[in-house]
Amino acid sequence: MNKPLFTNIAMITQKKEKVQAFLEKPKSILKWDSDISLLEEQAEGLRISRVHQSLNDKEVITIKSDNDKVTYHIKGDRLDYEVMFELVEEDGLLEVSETLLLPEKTNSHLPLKLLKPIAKHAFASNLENLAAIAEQL
Amino acid sequence: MEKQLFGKEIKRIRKEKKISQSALTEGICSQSMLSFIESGKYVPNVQIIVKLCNRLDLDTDQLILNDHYEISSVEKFSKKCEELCNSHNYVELNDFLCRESVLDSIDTGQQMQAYYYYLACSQFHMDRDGRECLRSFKLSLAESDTTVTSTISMLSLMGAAAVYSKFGKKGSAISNIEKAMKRVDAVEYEKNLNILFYLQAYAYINLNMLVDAHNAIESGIEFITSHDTHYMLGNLFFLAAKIAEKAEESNQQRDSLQQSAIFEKLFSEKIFKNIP
Repeated sequence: MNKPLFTNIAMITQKKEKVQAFLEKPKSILKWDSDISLLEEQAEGLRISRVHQSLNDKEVITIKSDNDKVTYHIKGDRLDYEVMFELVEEDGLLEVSETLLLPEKTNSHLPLKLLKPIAKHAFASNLENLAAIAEQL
Repeated sequence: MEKQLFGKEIKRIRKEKKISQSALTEGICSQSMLSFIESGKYVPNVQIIVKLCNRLDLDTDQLILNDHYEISSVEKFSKKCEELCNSHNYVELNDFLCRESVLDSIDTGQQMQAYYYYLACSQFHMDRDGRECLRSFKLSLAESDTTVTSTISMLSLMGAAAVYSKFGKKGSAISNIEKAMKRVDAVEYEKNLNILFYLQAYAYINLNMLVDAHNAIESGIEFITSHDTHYMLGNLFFLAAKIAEKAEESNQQRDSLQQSAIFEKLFSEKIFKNIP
């Protein structure tokens, strides 16, 4: 069972359908996640290698979409986690909320309370990139 | 797992330093909270962790080597160097190392390597632009074999990475970190290797690479516990808390900027960004 660790929010001027389609497309991640050094589409999912500033050096991502949610399921060399994007249109703006979910038991040595602000900080940067790209779709 | 290890380490250090629970918690948190922390049932917020670690004197701006290196064939010179280093008396250490009698007593390449390492450490705390310190770390490395297989070579590489990071030279810092860590699992274990992880995280913090700093600490804890030791473990926990504190501050700044931006978008409202 995964538990939410934090949520970041971005407001953008774009149609929900466009952003949802963009998030569902595996290769879109290259456009907003700046630390990816290698991306290969394989049978088990999207295999990703990262350079720096990431929870994992290597990850396999599978993407699932359901109504207003797009969820990235990540199996990493250090940590398994999920990133859930929820899209809500309001007053002509699109609210994109990004929630990081972690298994209740991780193999981390450090308390999750110490990881939380660091991961929130790193994911917020990528969400900012995503918001900027999504506005130009 | 993580709660137990953190709590156990706090308890071990508190007992080692002969500090009572009430003395450690005074003005920080309740004694019962500390009992929960030490038994692994609770992890407090970042601010409390930082305060507890501060009181346990885990701040490591000044590192102490677990085992010292000989800088001279004259035993009393090596001993004096060790004493000055352990007491963090860097100005006196620097003066001592620059004495002609000390320089004349260096006989072997290994002693020369250690000599420059200690000289660099003293300069690290005195140097304004880091040039002298970097030069000494490089001279220490010049005395080593080219494959970097000794702990002191790795420490010199990581020391240089720390200096580069302090002056924002990201490329050189990362390159040195990678070289220093390349053979950490291949060389024969000695406790001083634990310092590498601390310095690696320290360098990443200076470069504002907070996730990498956190990962370095995770790897360090894995490395230290797999060798059944505690040396530097408490310091790593403290540094992890400092990284989290820095990230929290940055998140708060970002949140308030974001709120202004959201208001601006929602209400087409101009926010006064430069209030005198």
